[in-house]
Amino acid sequence: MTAPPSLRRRTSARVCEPHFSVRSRLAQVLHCEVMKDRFGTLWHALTESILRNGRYVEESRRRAVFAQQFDGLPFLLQSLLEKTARSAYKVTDEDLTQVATLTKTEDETFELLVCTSVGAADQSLRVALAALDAAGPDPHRSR
Amino acid sequence: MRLSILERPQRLAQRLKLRLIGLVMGRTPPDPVKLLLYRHDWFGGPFVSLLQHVLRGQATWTPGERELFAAFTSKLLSCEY
Repeated sequence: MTAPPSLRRRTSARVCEPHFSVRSRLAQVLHCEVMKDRFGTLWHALTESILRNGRYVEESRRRAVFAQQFDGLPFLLQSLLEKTARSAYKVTDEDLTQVATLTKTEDETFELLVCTSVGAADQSLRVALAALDAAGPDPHRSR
Repeated sequence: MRLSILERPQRLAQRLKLRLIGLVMGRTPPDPVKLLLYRHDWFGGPFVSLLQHVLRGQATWTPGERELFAAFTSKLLSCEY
């Protein structure tokens, strides 16, 4: 998985400040290039780590829940993951108690919950960036 | 019920950190801290690096403003942190 191109572009726009000279502008552009790559790199590192390096859930399953696809899971576990992705504040201790018997270890539950949460965040991020792209260029960048 | 595995990070260094945080705070460490220390290499480490960059890295917004955004977003998501 790679960071979306729009992610890198938008990050660059958000870290730029008004500039007043060629020299400061050059320094700013170089700094922004570093910053945008840094954010994309860190986001990519996080998603790659949880998707590639898990130990208790198969990689294909981790990738599926990351993509918010919960088919094939026991009903209660599916409900918990959907609730985690859409309205995590509604998750209760009782939800976790109910799925305790459906997974072999708590580490399995842990991996599924983390991949689901980060996957939901990834989708939100992409939607937000697409909205920013649709809104047009940042007027502050032309100053 | 909370995941009991979070009470005991797998690596000794993380267990010591958790213990130290508890001693300094004078109470049980907050759940988010336990989450970040458990299997730190897999999730907590990369996530903290990203978080540090987003909240404290150089940007147009000050760290205080970014914390405010985070608090506001959490409030919208009914997450009292």
